Amino acid sequence: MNYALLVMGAPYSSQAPHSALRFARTLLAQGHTLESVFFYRDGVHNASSLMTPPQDEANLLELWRSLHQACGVKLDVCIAAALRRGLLDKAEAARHGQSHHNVSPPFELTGLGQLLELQQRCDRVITFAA
Amino acid sequence: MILHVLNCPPSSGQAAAQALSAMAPGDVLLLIEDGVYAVLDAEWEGHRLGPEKLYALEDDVHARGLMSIANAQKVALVGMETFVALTAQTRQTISWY
Amino acid sequence: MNNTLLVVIRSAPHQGVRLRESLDALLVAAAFGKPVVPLFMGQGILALLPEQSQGAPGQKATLPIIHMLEMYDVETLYLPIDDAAVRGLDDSQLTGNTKQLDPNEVQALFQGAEHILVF
Repeated sequence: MNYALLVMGAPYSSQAPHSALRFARTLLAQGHTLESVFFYRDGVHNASSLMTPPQDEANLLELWRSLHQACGVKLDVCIAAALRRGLLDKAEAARHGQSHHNVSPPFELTGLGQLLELQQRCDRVITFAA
Repeated sequence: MILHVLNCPPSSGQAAAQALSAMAPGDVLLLIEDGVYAVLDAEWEGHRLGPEKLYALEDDVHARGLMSIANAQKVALVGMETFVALTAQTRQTISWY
Repeated sequence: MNNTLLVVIRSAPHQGVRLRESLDALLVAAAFGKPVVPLFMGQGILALLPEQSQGAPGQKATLPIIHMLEMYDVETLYLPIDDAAVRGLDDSQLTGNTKQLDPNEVQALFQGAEHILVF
């Protein structure tokens, strides 16, 4: 089956990203495909490229990146939710006159319409939220 | 058939009651994350579902030190593999949080 | 109920942007031309109080979004009858074309929807 995940929990303040990552790895091991992880609400914080946890803690940013490397899953981040929380890619930083950006590939800013399209296209959309 | 996934305990917030209110007779309920604390409350309405329709994610039960308590309840402990399988078998999955 | 998207709204106004971001998803879904069914559950019913306004410093009002729904052909706003009763509210105290559902009708709404988003 073709899956998408909707992640609406922030890293380190909810278990949602951890559960989503475990679910993703398991579904891939069972031969399903994972098209996209869509980050919405506080889940957009998962995309911060400045995430720097202590070395003895799981680095969620690295875990998302390695999931992408393993299966090519798209990491879609809702642009409106991201911008209001201070998560900008290079293009949005330039557009809004900000000197820094903290979202970079494989994470991509995209519209909420992408979530609706995933729901149309994928066999299953599973939510992990807080 | 719908798989309902609950990640908060019955004692906090509205999610647990909402999950039960949305459930039709054929639906199943999986407790994950803090939802597994439901095993502490023997009086919780959800236990009436029984182990055929009430599951708890074993990793989350184990992580919270609830294994012996969960084993005494009418709840089926399942792994992540079963979680994924349930989402594939049921028509729809709804997360309550 | 074929091809409908059930969007469940469970947040009251002014709890951060929870309600706003839930309603944004509802609007985008409706703009897609998909039949969208909104269910205001639990605290979500409080989003329908007609006299609400903007919130403490800088919190935008969400009521205008509720009023916009009709333009997107989202005409009926559903709510569980028990959730309204427990808050002492009836249809006359809520904005929009509300319809109260008994517990069996709530279950049927979930069973019948093709897609469901719970916020």
